[in-house]
Amino acid sequence: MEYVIQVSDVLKTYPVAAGEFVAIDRLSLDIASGEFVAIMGRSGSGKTTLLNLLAGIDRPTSGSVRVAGADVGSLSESAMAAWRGRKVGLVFQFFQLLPTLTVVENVMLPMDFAKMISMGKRRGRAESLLELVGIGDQADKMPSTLSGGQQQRAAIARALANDPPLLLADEPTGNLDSGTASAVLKLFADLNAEGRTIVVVTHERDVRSVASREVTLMDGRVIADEGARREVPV
Amino acid sequence: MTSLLTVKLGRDLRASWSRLLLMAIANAVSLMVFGGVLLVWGATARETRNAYLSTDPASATILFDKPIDAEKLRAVAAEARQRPGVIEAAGRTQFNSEVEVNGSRRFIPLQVFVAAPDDPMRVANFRIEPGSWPPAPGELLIGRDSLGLLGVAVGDTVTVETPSGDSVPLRVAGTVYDPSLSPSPQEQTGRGYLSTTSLAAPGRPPSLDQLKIQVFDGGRSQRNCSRARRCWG
Repeated sequence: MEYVIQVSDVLKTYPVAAGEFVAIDRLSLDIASGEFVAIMGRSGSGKTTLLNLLAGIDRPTSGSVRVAGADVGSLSESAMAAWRGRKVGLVFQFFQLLPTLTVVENVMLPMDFAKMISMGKRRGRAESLLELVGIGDQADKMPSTLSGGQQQRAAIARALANDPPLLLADEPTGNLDSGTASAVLKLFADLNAEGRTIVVVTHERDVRSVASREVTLMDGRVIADEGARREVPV
Repeated sequence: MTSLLTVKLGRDLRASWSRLLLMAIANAVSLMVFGGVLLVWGATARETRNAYLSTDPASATILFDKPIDAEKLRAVAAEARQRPGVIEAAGRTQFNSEVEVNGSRRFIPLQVFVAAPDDPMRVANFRIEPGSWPPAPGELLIGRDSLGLLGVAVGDTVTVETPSGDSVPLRVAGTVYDPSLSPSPQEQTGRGYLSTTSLAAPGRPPSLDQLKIQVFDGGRSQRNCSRARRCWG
């Protein structure tokens, strides 16, 4: 079985006034290619810390994090940025679209950074991604003129800009009404059906309807892992 | 920078031009104020140094164990001037005194500087406004910035107590600007200048206990250099 994510015995601590705060406590987790994993848990359980480790935004205190073929902890900052631009698509709760670029320009920006797609093809690809997420007619508008759901779709299109094998989303429906949230989750499900690996951090139960696997964290540890693909010995 | 980032930069600048303008103005004002402070600081340091050097400050002051006759000290100073490297020497004394102005006691002490009436004032000098050294017998010159501190004016009578215990009434004849001293209000001390003739008493010739000498400073100061008549280079 091919694993896109292999987290081995990872410890992540933060220094606080009282000493060391353990955010991730000796956690191990493997995610196979093509899985749709929902990482759930209460606030403070370590969900976002884990996502940040997977995205290379943060580094583990100890243990190893291998994502999309790279040992995230050992990459330099510039190598990490290059790797992230090519291999990982990130979706945030508050969209993080640049307000002075149009929607299509926001989608083109990661292509400018990664330089995987030739300059002449970038706009066409950005427009087709916007069509894919259902907001092709909003391409030349400014993000502030879009609804929350449309902005999240634009953010998902931006995450797909360089066709990464892995999509990481941190509470992608947390700022959306339930109808729009369902539509966004359906979009994630469609992207997963195309073979893309998706990891969504959420504390909303709705994601169960679309995720193939549900990992529950508490105090930085996995306390439940439902729907994991198991390797069958031959 | 990618073309999209250039576009973004242009739009960001357009979107927040008023804020940027205010920032530029604030920076300009800050730089002007900072530059002004630097300018004043530099000018003050330069002028303070020049003013101090204009007093021909003594390189050293030799304090005697006890006062000696002013005539004797004049001979000692003349002898000192013959020593290698010494370009000027003069006998002086100074004392602190309680002070009365027109019979009214002041609670600010007076630091009194005393020189012989024929002292050429070529070392540790000061500027008399108006007039020149020496003040007449029975007269006192007061530091310019001591007037307000002591509540005294030119023409008033100031009574000082000499080291020998005599109370001597002196008329304020003029003022002195002495940039070698810190400001009187800062020190909370008045400054007075008089000649030995004002302290002389019958049967007790004037005496001094300081020998101020000035040595050649290697040409660092122009006045010192010209007086030494042998500058480097």
